Amino acid sequence: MRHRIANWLIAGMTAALLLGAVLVALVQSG
Amino acid sequence: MMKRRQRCLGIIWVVLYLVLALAPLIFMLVGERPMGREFIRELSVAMGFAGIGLMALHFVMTARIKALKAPFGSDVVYFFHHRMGIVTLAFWLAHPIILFIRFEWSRALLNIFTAPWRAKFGVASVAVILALVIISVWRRKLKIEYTKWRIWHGVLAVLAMAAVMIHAYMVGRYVGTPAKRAVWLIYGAVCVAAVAYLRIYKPWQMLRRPFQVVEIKPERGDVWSLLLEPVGHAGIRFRAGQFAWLTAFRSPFTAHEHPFSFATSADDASGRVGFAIKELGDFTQTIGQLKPGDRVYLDGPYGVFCPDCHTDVDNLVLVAGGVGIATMISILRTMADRDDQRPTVLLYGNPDWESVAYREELAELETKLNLKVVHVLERPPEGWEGETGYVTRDVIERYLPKDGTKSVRAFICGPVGMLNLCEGALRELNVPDRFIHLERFDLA
Repeated sequence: MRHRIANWLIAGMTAALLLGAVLVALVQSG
Repeated sequence: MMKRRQRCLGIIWVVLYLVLALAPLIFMLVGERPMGREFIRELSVAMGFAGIGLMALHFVMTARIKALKAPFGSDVVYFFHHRMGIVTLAFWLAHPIILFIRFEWSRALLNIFTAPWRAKFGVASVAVILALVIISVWRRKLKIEYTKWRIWHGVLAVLAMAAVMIHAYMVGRYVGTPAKRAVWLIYGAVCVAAVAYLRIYKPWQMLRRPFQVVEIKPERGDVWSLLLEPVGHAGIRFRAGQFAWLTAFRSPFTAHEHPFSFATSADDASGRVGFAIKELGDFTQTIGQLKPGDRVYLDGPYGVFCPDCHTDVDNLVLVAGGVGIATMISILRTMADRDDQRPTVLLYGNPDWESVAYREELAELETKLNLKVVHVLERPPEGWEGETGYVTRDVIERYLPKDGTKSVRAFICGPVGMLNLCEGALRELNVPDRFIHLERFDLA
């Protein structure tokens, strides 16, 4: 149970960071 | 109340983690902003900064801060650390790979003889983190001894972080203002503080509170019972099922420490604590060389794999594989000290009858407690009428309380294959996920 939640958190954090990086790059290059 | 507090604390840590992981990206956009370049180049830089933020958080995560681990359990924190380690590597690699693919000129930066120092530090940081992840993921295949790996793991992490910080400062982009430089200095300082806490403060605390060996006794199944008593202090208060890091034969400053579950009763008023240690690796094979009076050091307790850490535990199903019994014997000894008569089943898997550590004591505990011990043997002796093979769904179903699985709390400790098998079986038998607790042997 705890490991499954951890897996979801890892996926969520990774997605948030990727999205953040893309947004920052878009703003900076825009 | 306690549980709600832990849950709130857990949510706070997760939110804080996310904020601190995203903060380097936000810093890129606030205050002074350099002239924008094309999207792909800025993406490469953003990936790099996100990677540095993630790396800094690994130092905090693994500094063995009790308040940080308490809501999740150490095994989950290390699981998160392992997986996020791969993610961190991916971000670190993405930064140069994007540049190399898109900009031909950037490939020249790989030449360590002609590249400027800022690039040398960048390349070095990526090489070091790559080595760090390789020795961690394939430690056993590479036959790297656990203690040597731990030392190298720490050294490489510090080197990678130092190299990448120097790289970022020398490149100078997005760290141009004193405020931004200060922010990165704080990230660096947090890493240094985490290392100092783990490798200086904690060992110093352990040195001030030593233990000595009272008894070291061989048990069946290559298990040693190690009994310790505090020297000049009150000892450690723990909950049955928790574990501590043990340093023997060396100073606690040498980082030669290993995690073991407490095996004695949590209610032992004498302050004595004990462990059941199986000869499995380089350190455990030497444990039998300890003698009464030898100094050892403990850091703990840690872990949430304990019935006392959860409320409404009415019906206990304990599943142990091999030396996983260490945790269970602690739980059962504590129950005996408390005259705790909750219905309890122990499913105990072993290769054969001669490997069953503590079998006489378990038989005795059966007479004192409302306990049923079920031995499951892979290679049973002739005439064996008990369970055979592995602790499978069928075995669990036979001994699961018949009055509904909602009141069952299952605690499973053993090899990973067994944990997965039993977890799946209990789920199929309608034991809710949140009532199934697992303890992995290996945090590395």
